[in-house]
Formats: sequence, C-alpha cells, structure tokens
Amino acid sequence: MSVLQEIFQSSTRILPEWVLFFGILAACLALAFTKEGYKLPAYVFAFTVILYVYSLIISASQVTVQGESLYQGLLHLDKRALLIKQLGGIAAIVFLVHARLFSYKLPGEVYVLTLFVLFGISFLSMTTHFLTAYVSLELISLASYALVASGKMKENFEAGIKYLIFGATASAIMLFGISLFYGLSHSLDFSSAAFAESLARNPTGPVQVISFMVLGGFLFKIAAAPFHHWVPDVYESTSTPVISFLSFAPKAAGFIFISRMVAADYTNLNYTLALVIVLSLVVGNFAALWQNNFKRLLGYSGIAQSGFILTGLITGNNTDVYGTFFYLVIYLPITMGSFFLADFIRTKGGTLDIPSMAGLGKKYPLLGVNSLVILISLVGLPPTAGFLAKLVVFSSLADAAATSSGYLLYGLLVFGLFNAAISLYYYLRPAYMMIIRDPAAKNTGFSYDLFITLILSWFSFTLIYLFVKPDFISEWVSGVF
Amino acid sequence: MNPESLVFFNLQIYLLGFIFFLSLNNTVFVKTTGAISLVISTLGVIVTSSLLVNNPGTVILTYDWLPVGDEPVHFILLINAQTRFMLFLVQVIACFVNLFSMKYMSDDPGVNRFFAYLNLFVFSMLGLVLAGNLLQLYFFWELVGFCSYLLIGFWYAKKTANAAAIKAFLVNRIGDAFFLAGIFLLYYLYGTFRFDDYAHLSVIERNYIYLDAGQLQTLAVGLLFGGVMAKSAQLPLQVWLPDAMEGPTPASALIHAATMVVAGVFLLGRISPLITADAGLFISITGALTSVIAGFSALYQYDLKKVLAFSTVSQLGFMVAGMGMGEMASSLFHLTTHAFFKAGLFLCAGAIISYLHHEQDMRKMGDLIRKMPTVFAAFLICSGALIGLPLSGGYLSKESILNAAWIYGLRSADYKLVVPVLLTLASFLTTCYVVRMVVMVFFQREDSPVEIILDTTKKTVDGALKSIKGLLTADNKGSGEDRIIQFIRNLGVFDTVTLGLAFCSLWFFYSSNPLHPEDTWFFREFGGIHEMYDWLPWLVGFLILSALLISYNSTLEEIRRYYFKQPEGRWQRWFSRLALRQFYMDNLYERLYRKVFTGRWSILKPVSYIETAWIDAAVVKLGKSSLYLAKMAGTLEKEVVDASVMGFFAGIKSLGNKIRKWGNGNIQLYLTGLIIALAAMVFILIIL
Repeated sequence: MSVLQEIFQSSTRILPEWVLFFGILAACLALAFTKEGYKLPAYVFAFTVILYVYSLIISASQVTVQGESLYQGLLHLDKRALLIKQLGGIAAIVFLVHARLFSYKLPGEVYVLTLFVLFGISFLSMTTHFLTAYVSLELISLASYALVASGKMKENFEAGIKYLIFGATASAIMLFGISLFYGLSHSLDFSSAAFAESLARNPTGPVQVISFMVLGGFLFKIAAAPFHHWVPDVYESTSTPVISFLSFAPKAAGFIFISRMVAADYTNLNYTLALVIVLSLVVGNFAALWQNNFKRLLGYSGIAQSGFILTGLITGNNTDVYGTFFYLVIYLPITMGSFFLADFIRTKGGTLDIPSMAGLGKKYPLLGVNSLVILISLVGLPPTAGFLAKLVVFSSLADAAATSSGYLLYGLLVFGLFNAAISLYYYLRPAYMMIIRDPAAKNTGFSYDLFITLILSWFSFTLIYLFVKPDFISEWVSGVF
Repeated sequence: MNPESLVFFNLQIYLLGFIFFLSLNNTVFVKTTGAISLVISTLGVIVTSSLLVNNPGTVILTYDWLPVGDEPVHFILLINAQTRFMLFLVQVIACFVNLFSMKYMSDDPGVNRFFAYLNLFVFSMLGLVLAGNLLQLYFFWELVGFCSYLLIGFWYAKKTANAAAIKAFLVNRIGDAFFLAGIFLLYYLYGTFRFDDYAHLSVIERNYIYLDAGQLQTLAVGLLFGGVMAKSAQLPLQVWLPDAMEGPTPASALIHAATMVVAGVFLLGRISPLITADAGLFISITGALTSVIAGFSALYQYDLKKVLAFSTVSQLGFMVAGMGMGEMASSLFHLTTHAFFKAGLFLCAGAIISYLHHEQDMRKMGDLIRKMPTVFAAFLICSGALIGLPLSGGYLSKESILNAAWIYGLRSADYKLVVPVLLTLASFLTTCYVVRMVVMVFFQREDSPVEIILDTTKKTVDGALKSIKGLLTADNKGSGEDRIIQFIRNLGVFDTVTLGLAFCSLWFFYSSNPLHPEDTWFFREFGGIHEMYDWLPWLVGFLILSALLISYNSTLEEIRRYYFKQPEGRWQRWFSRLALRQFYMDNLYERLYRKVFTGRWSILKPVSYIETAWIDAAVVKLGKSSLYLAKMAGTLEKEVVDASVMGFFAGIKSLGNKIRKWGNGNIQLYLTGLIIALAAMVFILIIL
C-alpha cells in the first residue's frame, strides 16, 4: 500500500473530525457574513456539535479496543479516544445549554473558537505521536487563550495574557523535552517498540526528568501544580459557560494523553506523578481554604481534583488506568454542574462572594438542596457519584501501593485521604452559608426559573443516580479497555 | 379452636387494645376508641362463651418460666369450672361497662386513655383468673392493683382523686406484703406454687420449730388472707374502697364493685383445700364483722357512690365469710349475682349523676322517678337483688350463704354462732340502707307514701314486663330484631345497659326455682347444699319487712330534718359521726403513721440517720470524685487535645494564606515560582 493510499484510507476513518472541520468552516463563513448579534454562528455550532456526537455514535462500532494506526502512526484511533471525544461533545452541548439558559450574549467568535478547541481535543485524544500531540495541544491552547481574552473587560485581557505566557512557557519546556526524546530515540511515536528499546539503553534518571518536562505541557492543560498559576485568574474572569467547558474538555484530553504515556510503559512514571499529585493537592486544597469568591474556589478545587484524577494513573504491575477514566466521566457532571450552580447563585444573589450567599438556600430551597448535592459530590461523600469516583481511584492507588516496594505510595494514599478530608471544609462552606445562615437583608424579590432549576436538579439527580446505579458508567468505561 | 389458642386469643386482644389505644393519644381517632373497645370486648365474650359451651373439663397448660430451686416454676394456665365462669363474668360485665362508658366518657379528652386502662385491666384480670400458680397470680394481682390505681386517679388533675389513688395503692401494698409472705410460707410447707398440687399434696415432713405443720398452715392462710383483706376491702384494710369512688363511675362499676375486688374471694376459692378450721373461723368472723360494720357505715352516707361502695364492702364480707365457712359454691354464687346487680346499681348511679350534672349528694336528689323511669326500674330490680327479695338472683345467693352460716353456727353451737348472727344483722342493715337510698334518690318528696308505692310498683312492673316481653318475643321471631333495635333506639345507652344488668340479676339466670336455691346450676357445678332450714326465709323476710318500714319512716324524717335544718338527736349524731368516719379507722391509721414515721420516737429517725450519714455521704463522695475525674478529663481535653487540634488548624490556615498570597497577580513572581518548582522537582526526581 502506497503512502498516498494509506492517507486516503485513513481519511475515511475520521468522520467526526471531518464534521468538525466543515462545521468550523461553516461557522467562519456564518461569522463573516452576518452582523454582530446574529445568532447564526450559535446555530451552526449547535448543529455541528450534534452532528459530531451523532457521527461519534455511528462510528463507534468500527473502533476497536486495541485501536488502529492512521496516517502512518500519526494518529491512533481506539475506544479510549472515542470516550474522550464523546465526553468533549457532551461538554460542548452542556456549554451551549448553559449559555442559552442564562441568556449570555456571547460573540460569534466564541462558538468558532470553542469548535476549534473541540477539534484539538478530538485529535489530541487519539494520538501517541509527539508531533500530533504538540500541534493539537497548541490548537487547543491558542483557541483557549483567545476564548479567555474574548471578553471586553480589562480582567479578561489580563487573564488571557497570563494564560498565554504560562502556556508558552509550558510549551517551551515540553518542546525541549520532546526534542531530547527525539535525540535519544530517533522516534516521536512513544508507543512504538523502537522508542522503548532505545530509551531502555539510557539511564532512568534523565529519562524521568525528560518525561516530566514533556508532561509539563499537559500538566499545564490539566491545571496541575506546578503549572497551575494561571488557574484562579482565568477561572474568575472568564465567562462562566466558557470556563465550564474549558475546565472539563481540554482537561480530559490532557488526561488521556498522560494516560497513554503511562500505558506506553517505557519507564516508571509513578514517582513523577506522585510528586505532581502531592503538590497539586497541597496547592489546590490549602489555597481554596480561605477563598471567598466561588469561581476562584472552583479554580483551586480544579487543581486539587486534577491531583485526585492523576491518582488513578499511578499504576502497579498492570498498567490499568481505569480509575482515571471512571473519574473523568463522573467529573463531567460534577464540574460543569458546579459552574452551572455558580451562575445560578450569581443570578439569584447577584454576587459570587461566599459570605454574601447567606440565606440563599432558605429563599430558594431547590437551589439549596442542589448546591448541597453538587458540593458534596465535589468533596466525594456518599450518596453521590463523587464518592464512587474517589473510591475507585483510591482503591487503584491502594492496589498499586500493595504491589510496589517502599512506602511512598502508601504515604500518598494517606496524604490523599487527608486532603479529601480538608476539602470538606471549603466545599461545604457555601452550602452552610446558603442553608444554615439567615439572609443578611430581607430581599423581597423572588424570581422563579423553571428550566434553570430543572437543569440544575438534573445535574444533582445524575450525581445521586450514578451513585445508586454506577453500572452504566462502569460498563461504559470498562468497554474501552 | 382448642382451649389454648382460645385463651391466648382472648388475652391478646385486650393487650393489643391497650397498646393501640394508648398509641392514639392526641389524635383525631380518640373518639373511635369506645367503639373499637366495644368490638374487642364483644369478641372476648364470644370467644369465652365458646369455652363455656364446649366444656373441655379441667385443662392445664404448662410453659417453662422461672428456674427456682430444683424444679422450675412453670407458667400455668389453669382452666377449670371456677376459671370458666369467672372469665365469662369478667368479660360480660366489661362489655356492659364498655357500652355504658362509650356515652359516659365520650366528652372526656382522655377517653382513649380510659379505654386503654380498661382493656389493660381486663387483660390482667383474665390473667389473674387463668393463673395456675401463686406466683403468677401474684403478678397479675399486682397488675390489677396497678390498673385500679390508674383508673382511680384517672382525673389526675383532681386533688382528691390523686390522693385516693395513692391511698388505694398504699393500702394494697400493705396487704400484698402479707400475701407475698404467705406465698413463700406455703412454698416452704408444700414445695410448690401450683394450685392443682395443693388439693392432693400434703405438708412436707420436716422438723418445724415453734409451731407444728397445721399451725403453720393456718398462719400461711392467714397471711394470704392479709392480701385478701386489702384487695377485697375487709376489716381492717377496707378504708381505701370508699375513697376509690373518685374514679370514673364505669370504672368503679367494673373494678371496685364487680370484678377486681372479688379477686380476693376468688383467691380464697383457689386455695380452699388449704383453709384449716381455725383459719376458716378467723376468715368468716372477719367477713361477717366487715359486712355489719360496712352496712352500718352505709346507713349514714350522703354520697350515692359511697353508699354503694360500703354496700360492696358489706357484700364482700358475705362472700368472704362464706369462703371461711368452706361454702365455696354459695360464695362464688353470691359473687356472680353481686357482680351483676352491683354493676347495675353503679351504672344506674352513673346515669343519675350524669343526669344531675355531677351531683352526688343524695339529700339533694329526689323526684327522679318521673324523670328517669327506666333507670328507676333497673335500680329497683338491682336493689331488690341486693336486699335479697324473692324472684331475684340475690335472694338465692344470699339465702344460701345465710343458710350455710346458720348450719355452720348451729352445728357446734358455740362462739361460731357469732358468724350467722352477724350476717343476719348485716342483711337487716342492707335492707335499711337500700330503702333509704331508693327513697332519697327517686321518691317524690311531697306526695303521700301510699301513692308512691302504688305508682312505682305499677310502673316498675309495667316497664319490666314490657322489656322482658320485648326481649323474649324477639328471641323467637325473626322480626324481633327490628323490635330490639327500636327498643334500644328509644331507650338510649344508659337505659339499655342498666336494664340489661338488672335483667341479669333476676332469678331465671341462675335457677329454675325462684324461691329455693337448691336447683341453682352453681351448686351442681361446685357441690350442693346439704340441708336447708325452712324457717330461715321467714326470719329474713320478717327482718326485711321490718327494716323496710323502719327505714322508710326514718328516711322521711331525715329528709324533713335536712330541709328544716334541724339537728339530729344525740345518739344519732354519734352514730352518724362514727359511720361517716369509718369508725375512726382512718384517724387511727393517720395517727399511727404520724407516730411511726414523723413523731418524736419515730423508728424512721435512726433509719434516716443511717441514710444521710452513711449512704448519702458515700454517694456524695462518689459523685464528687467522679466530678473531679471529669474535670481532669476536661482539662486534658482542653489543654492537650483541643490545643493540638486548634494549633494544627491554625497552621493549616496560615499555610493556606501563604499559598493564596501567591496568586496576587504578579506574573514575574509566578514564573519565578514555576521555574523554582520545576528545578526542585527535577532535583528530587534525580535524587529518587
């Protein structure tokens, strides 16, 4: 088979990406030929995303668990990639619903850029090749910078610049690491046998350090320490539906790439990841303790949650990363639900300042109950799906600790549990304010939003339902291994 | 159903009723309790009557209960003739009372409590009746006492009711102390608690100190009789019963007239094989004396319910005397007839009191003959039974007891003659106070006596005939059911119940021959009468007639004096005071109590000294030391545990603040931090 033939052959296999590609083109055209304020780009976006998800579903039967190599190893299409793409599509739908329900007047560019992010995620999720990974990561990142800066406020611009600088630094470090890898192995496909063989001839110390540098770019994407400094500012200033999308979808793509690196098993990444986890948990939890802004709090919480999700990548003898995927699936309703909650609180209370939320849950009982459920699942307590997620990652960590020598992983386990306990404090503070405290001033205004309340209740119902019947997720997730 | 399941079904419906009614407290369903309770007691009557109809003979059901000594004490249900008739009696009266209370108590807010207690009482009374050994009987004996306490103090906000309840409880405890001692003495003598063993076992042979076995047995029976004295209100422990009338009238009818107070008589029937001649003499003299003294007291009471209470004490004296003489059949017979007519009288009194808006003073009544003719008819029939007029059940039972007493007295013709003489005197007194009561309550106060007698007799006979006819024809024809319904609808609850009980007090319920007790089915069941004195009815009849005349005149005189506020004669005043104060027995007890418990030479002083100086002091020391320990623990908690937790907390807080301070927007600082962190991590990785 000639190279050209393989390219044609491969091109028939990436139908969802073609959908996105033409959707982006259509959206650009719609943007170019409509006046500002027209809703056409949004409709194109909705149509594209729905078509994308539909094409994912119909192409699901052709995708195998082991996967197939496309474009001579540039892409690697398997069920895991499909799972992440599905999650990304769902997140995009939730983003759209969120934006519509709270009547955000988003400029048309936001939809196009979001499609670009989705495009990048789509490719990043199905690659084991550093080149594709770098390109798609940059596609996500550049679109994200623009998204963050798309607001007209000074804060948006500042956050965007900050995001750009950190992203550029992380990319530089990653590129440096990739170039070192290429120098060592003359290969950019880390899943290939040649890559592992040539690295095995080198001492483990430098390989670990280089791996860490390469990981840096993705740690930046998943908002793990020490590449986390952009998080609070970006989370606080970006409009809520956008950050809701950005807090989940690129993260999921970052995790799948890291999990592929872990699964390639060319070296043991446990210690590297353990360091990152410890740092992320400390930074995320302790900085969140005295946050008064709810979105900033969610930002720090995202750092800590990344630490927890990474816990699932710590592997023992078998390179099983089931815990991470399980956590990711549950993380979608948790994080996007909490941003939805944040917007709901802002429309009802007028502010995201936690002390001024006092009494909101008494005034709007459904809001109080839903916020309690969502926050409890952020903590990871029963009866919510958050508990199952934490249970799965910690039990896989315990398995890994049992098979590994030394006590480092046991220490990590204890440290992780300890941090989960600390997180109880700052997560439950908003709920406490809303439900237990009396409102400071008697506000007589009472507005009743049926759809918003319904969607919010849907989030919390999902979280409770998945706790009671986790078979749905576990079947879905275990289908990809 | 076999007897076992019948009996258990019977017991459990009352217990479940009790629990259910109590659980209804403060709900809207409170009003329904009366009806549900009526259903329960009707079910109970039906179940028990199946036990009566299919006579299973003597059944003894044994279950393991307590291990005592070598052989365990069993939980025994003894079902023999005595049990069966008592089971039926208790539940029939309970059913009547239930029906009556449905109306009487309907406006009371605690009506569910009342019916709950009533059901608990019936449950415990049935348990007492079924008990096959003394310990078990003692258990239910206490339980009925407790129910009586609850029901006397039912209106707990009323001070007198509370005091009466406590008095009844305390007096019963005194009796129970004797009772328990008697139980254990009997166990010492026979080595068993079982009633069915006492009949055929003899005293264990061993060396008894001071007293021989027979004397010890007399003593044991005497001690048991101590319990009977309290429960059945015999001299000198009868003081609680008149006060117990503070409870609701239906409860008085059921508990303090018909069923609970005869538990003592029932017990004497159970242990009748054990009663020695000496003990029997003691018992019968006590009973006879009680009946005279109580009858005398009844003669001077103004309170309608108190008259009835003293009359109950007096009749109980009859029964106890009969038991003492060994005439179990007559005694149980009188128990049965008394239960019906006394319950009837009490319920009549309840109807009257309800009609007069809680007025109980007989001197202020009168003229009720026109206003409540049906109740008057019932009252008259029951009174006739109480006096012992022919054609009534009371005549048969009383005659048989008096006859037995005269046989008992004349056979030896020594001091035993005291018993029949006293009992005859008591029956004379009975007539006196009954006539006084009827005249005071019902008769018109202005009309001539002849007219009253004619009028009332005519009315009574008419009413009674009508009701009996109606009921009799209803039995034969299917259309009679409508007539019964019509009858009941016209009569109202009070009238129906009192007439029903009056009907049960008539002779044909017990014997085919209205003038001679020989044919009574009781005597077929429990052993017959040996001989009858023909002169006795004449003697009693003469006494009744004379008492009727004397009492009628003196009552009119009394009413006249009451209206004109004339003082009584000197002797009369003396008697009246004596009777009203129960022969100063209350005062005696009170003084005794003061002497023993609060006086200068009180025996309680050393006891209280020991209590305060030693036991209390020790308890206080213990408390103080535990307080000290608690303080120590508190200090430890505060200074060590809390302080470390708080310190840790503060540490975390400052750490969090430091990390947060990092994110204040200075991008150069961020980048420096990033590079430093990276370098540090690379360094750590290389070291690892």
